[in-house]
Amino acid sequence: MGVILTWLLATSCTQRTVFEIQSVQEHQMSDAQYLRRLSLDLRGRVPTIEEWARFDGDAPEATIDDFLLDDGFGQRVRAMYAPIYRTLTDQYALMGSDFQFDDEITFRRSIGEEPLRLLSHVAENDLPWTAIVTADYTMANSLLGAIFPVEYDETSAQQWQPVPYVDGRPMAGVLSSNALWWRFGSTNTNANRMRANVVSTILLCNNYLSRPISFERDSNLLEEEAVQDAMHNDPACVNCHRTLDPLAAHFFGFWNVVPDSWIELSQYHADRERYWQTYLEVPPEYFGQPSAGFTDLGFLIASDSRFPNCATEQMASALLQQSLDFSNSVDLLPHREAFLASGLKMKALISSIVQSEAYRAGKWNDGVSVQNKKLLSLDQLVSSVEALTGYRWTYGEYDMFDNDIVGLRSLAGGIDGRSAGQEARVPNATMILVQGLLAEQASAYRVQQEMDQEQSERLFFSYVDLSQNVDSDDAILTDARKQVQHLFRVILTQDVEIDGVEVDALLNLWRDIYSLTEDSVEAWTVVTTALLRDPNYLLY
Amino acid sequence: MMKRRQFLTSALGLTGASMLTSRTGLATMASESERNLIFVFAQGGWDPTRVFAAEFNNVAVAMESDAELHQVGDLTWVSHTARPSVDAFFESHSEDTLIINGVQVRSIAHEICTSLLFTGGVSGDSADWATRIASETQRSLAIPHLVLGGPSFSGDLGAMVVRTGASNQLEDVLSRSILERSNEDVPMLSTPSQDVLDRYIQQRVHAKANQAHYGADLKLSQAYRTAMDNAMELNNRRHTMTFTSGSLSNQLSCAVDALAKGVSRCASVVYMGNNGLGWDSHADNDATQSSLFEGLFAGLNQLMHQLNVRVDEHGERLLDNTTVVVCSEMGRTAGLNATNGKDHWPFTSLMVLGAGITGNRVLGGWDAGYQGHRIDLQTGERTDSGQVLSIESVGAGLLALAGLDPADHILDANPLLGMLS
Repeated sequence: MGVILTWLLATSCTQRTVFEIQSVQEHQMSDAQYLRRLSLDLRGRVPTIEEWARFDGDAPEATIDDFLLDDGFGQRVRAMYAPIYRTLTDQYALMGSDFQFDDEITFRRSIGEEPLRLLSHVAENDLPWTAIVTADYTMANSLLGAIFPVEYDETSAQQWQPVPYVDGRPMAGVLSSNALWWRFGSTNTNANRMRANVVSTILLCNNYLSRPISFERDSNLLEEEAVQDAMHNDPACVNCHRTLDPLAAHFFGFWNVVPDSWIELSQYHADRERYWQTYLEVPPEYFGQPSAGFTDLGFLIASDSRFPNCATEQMASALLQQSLDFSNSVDLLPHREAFLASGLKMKALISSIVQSEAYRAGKWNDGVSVQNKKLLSLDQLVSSVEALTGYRWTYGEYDMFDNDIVGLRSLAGGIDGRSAGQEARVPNATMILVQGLLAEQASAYRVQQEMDQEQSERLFFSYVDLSQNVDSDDAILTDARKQVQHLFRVILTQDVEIDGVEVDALLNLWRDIYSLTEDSVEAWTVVTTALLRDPNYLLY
Repeated sequence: MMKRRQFLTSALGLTGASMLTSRTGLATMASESERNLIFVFAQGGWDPTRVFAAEFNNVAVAMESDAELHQVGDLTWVSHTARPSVDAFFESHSEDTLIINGVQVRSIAHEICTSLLFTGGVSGDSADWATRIASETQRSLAIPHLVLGGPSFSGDLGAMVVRTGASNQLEDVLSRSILERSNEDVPMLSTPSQDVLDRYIQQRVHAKANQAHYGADLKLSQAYRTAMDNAMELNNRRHTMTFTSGSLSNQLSCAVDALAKGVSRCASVVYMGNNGLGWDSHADNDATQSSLFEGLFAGLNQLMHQLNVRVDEHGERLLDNTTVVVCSEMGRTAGLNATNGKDHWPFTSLMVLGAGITGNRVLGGWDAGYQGHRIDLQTGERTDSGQVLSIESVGAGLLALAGLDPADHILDANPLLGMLS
């Protein structure tokens, strides 16, 4: 009665409706939802019940710090940057067989991960983000160690190691990685301009091709001389080419003379650094600043004010699942300040973003473009299901979710680095179908595993004997209700009433299956699958 | 009764006063038209001078010495004995064929040009034309946009798109044979259990959508509901449809089947030749392009035949309500390089077939420097006082052709209306 009276007084005094009160309360997401979002974003798995019990949404710093130290953090960084770098692709000019490797999928995966591993190494070790363009090493696993001219320690237990290239190339973090230039090649007429634009886009968020292009019709594009003249004198061309071409001039050490030659593509060619004289006729320069060449490039980028801005835009866009930049969002400013204040540490930037109001927007938050729900990425789906169930869908050497050769990457909403350059931003039919199959497999696997375990050792089924009919007697039914309640907490980070509608619905599902199959194990597998397929699993 | 083409013509002839509800005055067509579209993508950059650009009088352009100018009505093309299917196609289908020459794609990088061709932008963030058109359909479709091959850009409209997969994975998913590709021997659910579970999940997804009110929660939950319903419908269709990718012939047959059965409004296919290497002929241009054009037009001949004989759910001949867009992301240089290849060129050609266009025409053209000729976008006629035809204008024209208002989709939309009239 007291609660109702208080509520009535509150609403009558302030003229607020029930709806408005709910709006205020759920302007931010609940602690459980916030923790789940943090856990999935920062380490790719759902929180445990124990972590949930400890979590205080008003003081999340310690939890965030813990998650940023988690083993899963590096993979999250790689996944968030994969759509930007686009190196995780099934197609490269060279194949594993060119290097006497039979395992093509591991070959492609290793190549594609080279620059991404450097990003995650810098982030995980809390190094200044500038290291991604100034580090005097790349990252290599044993495969890359065998095919690239790098100093790889075969005796080390560490699979991915920071290693220097030993072919005399200037080291500039990801800019020195073979993988980036295998992915983004060039031609005689393009003369590294695409590479320059890739660097500008990835590291400075400055995509030349997003600018309007208007050719002077007097330019004769068929005459090389006329094209060169236009690029130097036609205002419409000069606008881009006066900075693009000198940037492109930095990359001729990666110039390829013999197409598709493994020696050509693997080695740096210092003797070609001055090919800009032939192909571009302009020396290396960095947006009007003098540059001694590739050796300087990383440091010039690192000292460019656009570099931290771009990192802020990219990370905020990834974590808030919106396309954000400083021109359309003042909300980015405090994150950039936090990033700068930390000495450009990625963890500080991430920590700032995930504590923002925009990140914690709740169901009733009606702000413009609020991300009060996000869609789980394929990477998060696969890693979280594996963390919960122990199941990873593999086939031979293939991971079923990292390729489109035999796998389901694109169908499940992932990127292939080329045809599907963007992750799915909303659910689609094939994603739903694939999620259903993964959930079913993972549930069946987990049930199988737990059938061989003592009840007290089980993560999922700690309340029931899987072989029993839940309606055998009242005690068993009560345990079944506890069991379903427990599964909600473990899988969905959601508290439900033991005799509430959610539990009833899943028990009724259990009964429907049991009546069809008389198989209690299958019925529990279906219940678990239903939770892994629940919309609150994919939307978080 | 006024035929659709007459309606479009008359709608375009209306004065601005009667079109005040729409920024471009084209929204009036939306309720009229539920036209299907098939996009055929020649990936890698075709050489227009081998079929579409009959530049025999242009000294800057290296035409094949043994090619000839052929013409039916106002439609001209480059004929060559190595490409009999090209001649056969134009001779049979000139009335349904519109060639658009001299389209500027602004770049010579494959990925950028592809993004521009499909979306009108370079970022790849926006949904492609087919997805936008599919998303505006009033019909209930299991797969609004079926992607049988090639790139697709779904933007925020991913719920509208279904990919069959590079090696036909969709068929394996629907049949559940994909589960055989696993290193773990995990028991599968029985079919009755799967059905009960699917219905339960569908109810959950619908309930979730009904409870969403704001922002991304609303957008994602509604998309989830659409995707879930489409997934269920796909499952239902698995016994009556085969989602076959692979060869051009297979892709086109599947596309036609999807349109005929009311499963899809748009379908996208890709053609990269029998060897799958595509159109990027930096060496040996003529043999490569000849072989590819021959294969492409053989497929298009089959497609037009199927569209002619197949009907949709309402008994209407597919050719009467289906537009086919045949395109490539860029053109190739006017002359041969040192390896008898051709490099990238920022102007290309497109071909539009079937419903919604007036065929037997070539729009646009080439100037002495093999750049796109300026045209009047309203009529498609060449004029020195007109505009360079951009790929964005063609895209906006396709949206208009499908009954959408381009201004709702493209900033400063300037559609090529000449393709419609």
